[in-house]
Amino acid sequence: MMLELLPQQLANGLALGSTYALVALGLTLIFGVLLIPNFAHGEFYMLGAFVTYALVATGLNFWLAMATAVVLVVLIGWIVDRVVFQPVAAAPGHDSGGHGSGLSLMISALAGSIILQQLATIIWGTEARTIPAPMTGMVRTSLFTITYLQITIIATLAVAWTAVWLVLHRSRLGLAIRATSQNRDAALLMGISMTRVRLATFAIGAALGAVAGALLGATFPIYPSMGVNPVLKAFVVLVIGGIGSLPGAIVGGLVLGMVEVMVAGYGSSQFQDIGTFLILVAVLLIRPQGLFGRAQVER
Amino acid sequence: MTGSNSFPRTVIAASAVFIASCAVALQLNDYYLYVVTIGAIFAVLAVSFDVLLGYTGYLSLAHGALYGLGAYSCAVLTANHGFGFWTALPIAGLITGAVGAIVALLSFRTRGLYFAVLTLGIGLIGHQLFLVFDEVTGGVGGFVGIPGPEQPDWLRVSPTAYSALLALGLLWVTFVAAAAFVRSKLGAACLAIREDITLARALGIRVAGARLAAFTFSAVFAGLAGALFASMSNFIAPESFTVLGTGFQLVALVVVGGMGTLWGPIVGAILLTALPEALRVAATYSLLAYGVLLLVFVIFAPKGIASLLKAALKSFRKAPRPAPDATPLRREVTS
Repeated sequence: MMLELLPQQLANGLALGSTYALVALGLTLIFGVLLIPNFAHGEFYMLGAFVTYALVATGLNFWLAMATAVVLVVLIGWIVDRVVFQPVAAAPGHDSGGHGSGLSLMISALAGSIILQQLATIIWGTEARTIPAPMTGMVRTSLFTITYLQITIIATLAVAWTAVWLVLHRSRLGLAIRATSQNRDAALLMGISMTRVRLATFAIGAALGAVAGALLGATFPIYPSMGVNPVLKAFVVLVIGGIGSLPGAIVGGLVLGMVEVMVAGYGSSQFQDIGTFLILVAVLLIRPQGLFGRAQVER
Repeated sequence: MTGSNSFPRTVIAASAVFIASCAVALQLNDYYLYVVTIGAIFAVLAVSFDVLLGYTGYLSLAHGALYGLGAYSCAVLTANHGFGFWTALPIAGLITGAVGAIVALLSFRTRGLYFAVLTLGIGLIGHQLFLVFDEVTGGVGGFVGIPGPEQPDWLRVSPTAYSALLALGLLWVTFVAAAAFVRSKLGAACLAIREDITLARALGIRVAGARLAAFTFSAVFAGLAGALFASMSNFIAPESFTVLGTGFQLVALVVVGGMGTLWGPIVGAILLTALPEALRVAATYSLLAYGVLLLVFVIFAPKGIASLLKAALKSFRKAPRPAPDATPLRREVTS
């Protein structure tokens, strides 16, 4: 084994895993609080990258572009919730308790994802583009080198995680969100405004997705279907970490990033994705509620 | 539900429609014959997929890959091992059914979102495997030179017409087999699972066997559809078997056509596969239209076109009688 490469692999895996964790954090929040399997989350990520790209192309500074993109994607997230999810949840046929629960939400999420993807294809075309990197250069140590951008991504995850934790645990809004995720009916009875909880949850989720997209878009090429793989990986992370568990999303994301880089480094990059989903299958078979999941409520 | 119609009547009706569509198909030019073939193959996929989604209540996203498995099995058997189409077709169906059963055994340990995510992962692994094993599958470049289905001498039609007839024939077989399945004890057990799995278990219904049968059934016919697709197109590539292409398309066909009926998915396949092809709509716009249609139907008519048609038929029959209005009820309340 090429052990001298290990620290370098770990550094790369940490950076890759951080983007997975960012996407998974938003996804698990939306699922944990609102019980929405948001397949369109990958499109928040994709739009974050493309709006940043479009704004940078007009000459705007990368960080300003990213901030604007986050605001726009949050607006899009609200529209998606209003148009795609709320009508389905309110439809008479939708059962919120039975076995088939979530089937129609899942289907409408798939529809929303395809619609956003095809709209992006119509606007920007299918060819891959790149956002000019906002910073170059790297830190070299005796063991590994890490680019400033990778450090930024890891730091962003730390900041985002802290911010989400503070909102959830140190604000009245966060209290409302946590109450809703524990028991929606009881929360409604306590006078918690579901509209505010929905808006806040989608805003946080979409913002996290957009930031991840913009940062990764500065490293890798962007294209309209770029959100598909990360959202699938984020679902894998959710399942590994336990659906609705925020620490699970972080740890799951980092572990997945590390494993992928290891598989690609020591095995073959062709098997990178297969490795991911083999982990998924293994976790689901051995511990269906996920590593950090509480005993799964039978739905 | 089509429960009120007896099985022989369903078979006779299906046969009549089959003969009529064959007669119409023979009048068409080559391009429209191709449209009929593709539409019928997707209808086969949609009908068998609905046995799982509409009748049993499980959303599988692995069926794009299972369809591909049938296609590659047929391609390898006929092009590399010299099998005839008629031998390769059932073998491809059996292989896909066997793999489908294994996938089902893995996936049914989970339910709801977990089931969708797990089958989605399996669908992606399948698609990746078509790319990775390029010595067998041809990788990205695709599998070239698959022999077409051999044609009997007495049937004097063009090869494209023959493909269309085969596809319509497979659709007839699928429809009749699915009709028999949903009327069987297994089918009744599947409905019980869809409605309330806990209750079904409590009543002593063999849940595991029934849903395994439903998944395997849909896998076998996905494999047969794939085999016919490979043989008639002479060329297949992994891009035809993606999760978000074919896998998603299947969901759209079934939901728009009507979950829980067998003819609804056929209507869905005609509207969403054959029609855009016939009108030569650009792929981007047709996928966008899929998304919009799917969303509109999930929100406003979750039971699809089939339920709309049924409702229209009902109100048409009732039309002579004046519709009862709310007045008697109101009187009751006020008195």
